[in-house]
Amino acid sequence: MSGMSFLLVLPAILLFAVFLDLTTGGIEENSRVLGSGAVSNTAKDLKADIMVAGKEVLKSEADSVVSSGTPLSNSRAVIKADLQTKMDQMVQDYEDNSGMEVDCNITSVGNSEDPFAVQVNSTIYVGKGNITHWEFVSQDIPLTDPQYPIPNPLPFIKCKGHGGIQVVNNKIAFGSTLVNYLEKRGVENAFAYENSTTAFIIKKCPYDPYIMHGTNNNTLKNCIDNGYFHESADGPCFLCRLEGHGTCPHYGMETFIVPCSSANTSVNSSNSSTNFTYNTAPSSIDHVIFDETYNSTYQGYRLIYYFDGVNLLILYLDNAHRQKYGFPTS
Amino acid sequence: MIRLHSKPINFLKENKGQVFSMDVLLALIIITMVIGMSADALDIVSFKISDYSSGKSLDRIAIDAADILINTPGTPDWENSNDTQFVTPGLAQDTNGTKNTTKILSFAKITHLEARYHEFMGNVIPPGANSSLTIYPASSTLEPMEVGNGTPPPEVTEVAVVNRTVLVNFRDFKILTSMASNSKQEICPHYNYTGFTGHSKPADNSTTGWKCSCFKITQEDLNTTDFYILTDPPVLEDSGGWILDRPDKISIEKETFSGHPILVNDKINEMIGDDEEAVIWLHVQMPNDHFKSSNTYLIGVPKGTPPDEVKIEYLHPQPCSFVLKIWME
Repeated sequence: MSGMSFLLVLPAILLFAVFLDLTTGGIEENSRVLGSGAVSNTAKDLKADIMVAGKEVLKSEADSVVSSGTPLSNSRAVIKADLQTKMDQMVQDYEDNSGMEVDCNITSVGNSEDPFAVQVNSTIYVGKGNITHWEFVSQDIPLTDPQYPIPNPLPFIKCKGHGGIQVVNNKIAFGSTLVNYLEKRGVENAFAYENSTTAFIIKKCPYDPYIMHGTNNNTLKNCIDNGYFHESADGPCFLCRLEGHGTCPHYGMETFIVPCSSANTSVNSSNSSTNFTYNTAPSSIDHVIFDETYNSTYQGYRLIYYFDGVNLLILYLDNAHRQKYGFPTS
Repeated sequence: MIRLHSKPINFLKENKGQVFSMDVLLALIIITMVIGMSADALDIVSFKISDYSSGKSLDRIAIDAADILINTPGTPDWENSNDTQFVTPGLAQDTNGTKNTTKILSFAKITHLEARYHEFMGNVIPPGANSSLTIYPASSTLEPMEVGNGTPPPEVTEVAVVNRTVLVNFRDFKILTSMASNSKQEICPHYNYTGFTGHSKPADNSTTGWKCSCFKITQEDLNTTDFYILTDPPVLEDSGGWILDRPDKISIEKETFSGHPILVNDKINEMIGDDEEAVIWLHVQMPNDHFKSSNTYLIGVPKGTPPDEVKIEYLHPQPCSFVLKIWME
């Protein structure tokens, strides 16, 4: 090729180079924008997945403890491992379907500030090409989602080996089991809890401040009818309930254990005997009844919270709990 | 071409010659034409490149501005401030506790942006650029919102348009309780209460049933909120009814639906009385097939909201087209 011909071709080469550069730049820019959106959306999806998987794991572990009556040795570690397994499966699906590099590491499971939630901490990594996203995520998994009803595992652990307990109309019916359990521990006036009942599903009480319970004769009745739980500094948290602890150092929850009355005999076992004659009996709060440390199951005074001529509903409440729920102290 | 002589020429003795032959001159003309045409072509290409890149940058400006407006909540609390300097006007609703709502546009922020549109947009688009923003709701019952008006002048050759589908929360209405078909089933205070008939849950073998749910009200809410009961779709007068009461003030007086939102401020006032706060129950009775296909809400709206603005469409974020136009002046 002569020099003259090269000179003639040179502008065409230059033009081609400029066009090539522009096109490549545009493609790279579009690819970066699309990649960034995909990475960011995958990270958001993973966060939502942790919430759903967390609720499934909490429900599954609580159901498993309820059916076996065997406590978890370390609930935090068990839930963390279960959740990690679930997330690993999801991460694999993301990697297979999107071609992205995804990692989700559950770093810890612990107590939330809200006793009706469990805190899950995790790290999320999503990468595609040279675009990467790394995030530390702390989420509170609620225990009170109606779509994932979580049972109270504590009575099933404590009453194992003392006779069966039934679940009827979303209530735990103890029959004679609770009496057997308390008598074995030498608790005074345990027979007051023959055919007693308590809440099965964890639901947060709307009557807050709790002093509202004592302002009339129907609020406490409605609270007990619904089987609501209340925040409590002395009550065990959900994670410690899974381990069978009647009390724990964390901020937890409590619910009433309701002695048999004429209104709830229908949900109890065939043994319909009851005893309203006690003036004192173990305080009708679950953490008082299930706390096995020495002298911790203290007595409460009889409180008739509802009587309409037909239905006589009673609780035994100590003065501290009477104050908490707005009832006069004795 | 240079002819080759049979005998060698002694150029030192020659006094005649040709510096530029005809061939060289012809070649020069062609070369000059080629260079000239190339220069012209390069000029045209460079103009086109500059045109293309400026167009791209206008597109980029429009896309970035739309991203800022749609995907970010902006400078914290900017919608409640009079300041416009150094304020980024993001329209995304603020994150509500653990629930991320940043993909929904806030009506309060849209209204604040509308009030001083060009001042706020000056912080999002470069000097010399102008813009207009219109939000078109998908529902024909809602009016389009012209947040920033303006029409590109005729001499403007290029306008970048971004059209995105967004969700807009048109009003700050709060659902205090609802009776959706899949909502949780609560036992209401009427259960087993002597003298009253209990509120039986909707069952397949009965024609009507009750759904009951509670919510909490404080005295402060009374000062800032109007309360309405409304159904989706509207339920007619002869189709069931509702009761508002609380455990210590149980009522059996059933009120009827009227096909439009019902203001219940007086009832709520009566329920709370002098108490600082109260848990109030809404009991709804309906034919069973209505429960399956409809929902009843008790909502709180900002005090003084005109009744004709209390619409079912405002309870949930509505899909809209977000159209942002940008041009250089």
